[in-house]
This record gives sequence, structure tokens and C-alpha cells, in this order.
Amino acid sequence: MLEWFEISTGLTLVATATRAFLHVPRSFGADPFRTPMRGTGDPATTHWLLEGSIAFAGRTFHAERRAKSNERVRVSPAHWAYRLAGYYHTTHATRRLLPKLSQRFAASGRHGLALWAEQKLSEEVGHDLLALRDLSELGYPAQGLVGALVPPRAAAWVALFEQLAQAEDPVGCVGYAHALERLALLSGAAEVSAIEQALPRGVNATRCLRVHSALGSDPDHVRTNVTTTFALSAGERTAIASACHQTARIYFDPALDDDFQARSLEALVLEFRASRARAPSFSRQLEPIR
Amino acid sequence: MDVWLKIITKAWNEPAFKARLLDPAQTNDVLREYAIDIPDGVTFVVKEDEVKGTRYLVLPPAPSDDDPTLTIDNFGRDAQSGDPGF
Repeated sequence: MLEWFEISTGLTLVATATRAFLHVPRSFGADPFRTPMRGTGDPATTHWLLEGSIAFAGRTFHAERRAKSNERVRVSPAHWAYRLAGYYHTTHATRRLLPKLSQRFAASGRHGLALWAEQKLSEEVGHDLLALRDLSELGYPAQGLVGALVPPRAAAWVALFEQLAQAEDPVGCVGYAHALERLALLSGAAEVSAIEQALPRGVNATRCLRVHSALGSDPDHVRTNVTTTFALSAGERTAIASACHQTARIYFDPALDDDFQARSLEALVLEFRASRARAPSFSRQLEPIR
Repeated sequence: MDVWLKIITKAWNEPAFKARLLDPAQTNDVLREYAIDIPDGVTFVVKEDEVKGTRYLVLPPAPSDDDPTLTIDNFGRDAQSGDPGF
């Protein structure tokens, strides 16, 4: 059993039951991978199709990221507040768009996908509020801050999610969800501990991170996504893998790094904290910053 | 692919051209006449399927062992990675 799709022009990602690899289809003569994927899915090959879709995005930006990661980034409480604003925007989009997705799937008779969206909604409900709670815990006017600050990577994810949800066939949203939940598993106890150590003692502002990490329920969600995907048609699996790849590109693309220190965002974020008591409408005076 | 269809059509209509195409010593030259880029070290062989009799299937090359497996952990987090929250 094999699954495949053209992941970029002239390059095909091929998934077996044990790995994913890249194949360059020949420009003429017989090559089965030059035509769109056909046949049924399988839990193992679909798993690798999605893994490969994400990993190829990482490979695309690997050299650029390595060069950049030499600059050590130390997370300050203000930087963490900025990152929490990003968590708020993506998780809020989930709460906003999943009900519409569920309705669209149900209306077109795709009951398995409607059920997937409903289940996701029940699992993700309240996660945007976790980001707001964490921000409040840090001493920020949470709603005001998220109303004014939209980190570039979060903005790109929300825009992609909206585009996928409004598409003629919104099945790509499964790929979007899968990529975010799979990538969340790369953060574990070490990541949570590093953030906690950067925050003032006694401040609990990692609820949102814990939920969206290997410590939360995303491992189960990832398995559910694969189970949902492998049962779909070849065309649907291709659309999901493609959306998964697009979502992962946003994760890895260094052009979307927040560059918090370089952009002097610390002072701006701290101003929000200071404004909490004196100017409740402060955020409305600003255009969202991306 | 369009160029391959042109070659097929010509081979069906011109026996001399077909003979050159099927001759392993001349196949690369014929393909180059159609501006097909042939990488160094590659020799094309054209075989003719029969309606009844022998038909040929092409087995693509297996993934090379030195092709790194595409796994997410190889390209995971760094200090500036995003915060994926669905």
C-alpha cells in the first residue's frame, strides 16, 4: 500500500507503511506517481503521508532556521504574553470556525467529517479562554492585549484556516488541525519548565501551553485525525495532506518569526500591562500589530 | 508528456524512425532531437508492447538508503518556532 501527492512542482511525497520519501516523477514515459493518488487509505501509510507533509516543510526551511537559531532567544514574561496572544488567536479561530465546518459537512451528507468537527469542538472548547486566563495571571488586560496584538505566525494560521473553511470543499481543515496538533507534541515538560522559569515565581501562566503540548490531549487528537483521514477518498486525503503541508510551512517559515527583541515589542507589551488600571479602552486606540 | 505523444505518433507512422527509437544505441540521440534533457549517465531503452504477447511494466527506483527519512523530529523546535494551538 502506498499513498502520495505532489507536494511541490515536480516533486512527489510518497508514503509507505514505515516511512515517507521524496520522488521526482519522470517527465515522460510511465511513472505511477505522476498521476493523482488513487485507491484506499491505510492507518500506517496515511500516518506517514501526513508526517512527511509536515517534515518536508521543516526540511524546506531547515538551513534558514539553523542559521537564525544561533541567535539565542530568551523568553521574558512580556514575550510570553505576546506568544499567548498568538495562542489566543488560533484557538479562538478554532472555536469560531468549527461549528460552521460541522454544519457544512453535515449539510453535504459527510457525517463522519461532521462528527470529527463536533468532537473537535467539544475537545477544544474553552482553550482560547485559557490563553486569556494566563494573560490575566501575568497582570495584563487580556482582551485589550489580544485585540491589539496579533503575532505574524498566528495571523497567517488564522488566515489559512479561514481560507480552508470557506473553500468549496473544506476538508483541508482536517489537515490544518492535524498539523497544529502534531506540531504541538514537539513541546513537552522541558518547554513548559523553561517558560515557568522565565516567569515570576508563583505565576501560573502555562495552562494554554500545557494543553497544547505532549502533556495535554493532543496525542489522542493526532491519532483521531489519522483515523478520520485514512477512511476518506484519495482526493480528500490529498487535500488534507496538502493543507497539512501549508500549515506546517507557516510553523517553520522564519519570515514569520516574531523577532520580539529585534522589533522592540517588549516596551509596547509592557505598556499594556501598565495601562490595565488607568485606561481600559487603550487597545482601541491602536491598529492590530502583526 | 506531449513530446512523448509526438514521438509515439511518429514511430507509428515512420518505420525507419521507429527502428532508430528502438535501437538502444540510438535511443538517447532520438530523444535529444526532441529537446529531451538526458542526465549524465542515463541511458533510455524503449520497448514495444504487444497486443498479445509481451507487455512491459516499469519499476521505479526504490528510495535510496542515503535519502533521509522525512520525520518531524529531524526538523522540530528551535528558539523561534511557532506556538501551534488548535
